[in-house]
Amino acid sequence: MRLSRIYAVTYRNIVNSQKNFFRLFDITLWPLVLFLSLTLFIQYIKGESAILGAVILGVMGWRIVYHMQIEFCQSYMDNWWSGMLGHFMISPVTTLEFILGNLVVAVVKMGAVAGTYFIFAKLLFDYTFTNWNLILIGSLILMLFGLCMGLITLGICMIYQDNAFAVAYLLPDLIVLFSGVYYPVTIFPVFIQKVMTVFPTLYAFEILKASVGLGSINIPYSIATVVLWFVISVSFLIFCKKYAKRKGLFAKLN
Amino acid sequence: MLALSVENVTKRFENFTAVDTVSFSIKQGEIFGLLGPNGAGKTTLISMIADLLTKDAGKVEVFGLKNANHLMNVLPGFTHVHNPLTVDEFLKEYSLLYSVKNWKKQREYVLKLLEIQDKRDIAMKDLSSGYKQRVLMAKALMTQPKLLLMDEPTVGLDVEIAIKIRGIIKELRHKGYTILLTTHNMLEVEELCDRIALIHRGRIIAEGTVPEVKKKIVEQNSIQIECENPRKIQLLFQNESYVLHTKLLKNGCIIFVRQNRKIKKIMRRLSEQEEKVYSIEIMEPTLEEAFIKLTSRKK
Repeated sequence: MRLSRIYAVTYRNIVNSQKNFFRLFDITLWPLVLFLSLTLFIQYIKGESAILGAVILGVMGWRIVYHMQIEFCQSYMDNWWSGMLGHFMISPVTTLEFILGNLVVAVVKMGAVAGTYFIFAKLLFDYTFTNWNLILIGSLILMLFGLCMGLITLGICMIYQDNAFAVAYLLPDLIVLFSGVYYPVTIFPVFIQKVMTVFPTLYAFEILKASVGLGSINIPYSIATVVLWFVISVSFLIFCKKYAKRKGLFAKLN
Repeated sequence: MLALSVENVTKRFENFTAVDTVSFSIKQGEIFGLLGPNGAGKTTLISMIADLLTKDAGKVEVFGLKNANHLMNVLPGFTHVHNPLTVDEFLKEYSLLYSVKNWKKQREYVLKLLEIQDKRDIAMKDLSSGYKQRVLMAKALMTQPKLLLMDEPTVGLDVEIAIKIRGIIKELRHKGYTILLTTHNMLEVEELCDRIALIHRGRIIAEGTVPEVKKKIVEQNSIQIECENPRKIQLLFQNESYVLHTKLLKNGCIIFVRQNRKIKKIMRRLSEQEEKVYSIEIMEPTLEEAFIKLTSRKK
């Protein structure tokens, strides 16, 4: 593993982001629109302070999963779209270096968005979070799950390329939606509730809500499900890479 | 030392065998041409050497190593590059990927060599095909590869740029680069390659230097005689056992013989004649002829 190669991946991702308004909006405009539309609504209906806190943490948690998962397949697809995939894949960069390089960007973007949310919460609503331990634990679980989703969607993109990119946006959103971000998961049919017990997002959002006194804490299940998804996602990515290499899907040099 | 060793490499796509037990090797400092028509298996083979594609069987070693991506680079032809990065940014990215030491100095060197200094701040997607190709070549050279894989590097380029690229490849030979060049351009091969292999339907069907390959394949040479009385000269040779056939021209005739063995005899017989002979030209078969002959034989 070489730092220069990790930096190369980070460098390309940052340069690409700077040249693309949509990417810049991804860490500025869209997160703020989401934040303001939900928090202002809570203000409008005169929701309790704890509800406001839970919604802010919910929006933040959702963005954490999004940023942690999207960078890998987006960076991979950048190479594909620009006709550089073959050149990139023939270079000595390893999959781990590629992941770490993009992880740096993901963490920076996620940090920027989360930081913005905390600042806006203070400035607009004079809301201060106090239980930072739980917020950090919940965020960490969501980060790790976002990473797992990122590896899975990267694997799908390796095989289906363009056709799969929509999945990269859709899949994590669906999972988060059913994880009870702003509502208890008990509002869903029983079978969905049972399915969601294997997703760490369920426990992570509960932990975030618990930080404002509204949720429950289940650390062992959080860790167990994260480990489960990590094993699944790494195995899936290895399988997809081998499959793509066998089928010649990287071998498009021009 | 062997720069590249390919042993019994095979690749199948379902029922189609794209590369079939291919073996060859390239010595350090050599330009080796892999020649074949479209669909012969050249790009598939290069992809396996570059470790972009899994082999079904066989072994590839670059300077004795199985995993040697850091030692090689690739230059494809007909580039559809839509890279938003500028030339400078792109070269920086790849110098980091290949951990190039003194990359700024190296970048200046390749930009100058390829005469693209004035394009450094332009996004690659906005460059013409010829310039894109030069930038990709700059990327490949900047990483100072021990083995350079060139997959039809001049295809789709206009004549002037293709000549320029070929000139650079010649310069690289003098600098000791080892190059595997795939092409279906016979002239390019004759001009650039130390040794060649002809690939057809996934198999190597001939290998050696260009003259060796021609000799292996083409059993006939032709001697063009410009003379005063072509018909008489034709009659003189047409019944000789060593003459395959003859062809009458307006101002001479062509005598086809099996290789060069009987050329001395023809010269002697001509000198014994009273007919005026203005010129005699031994016509070597072209690689193109050799290739067409060989591939049609294999059908």
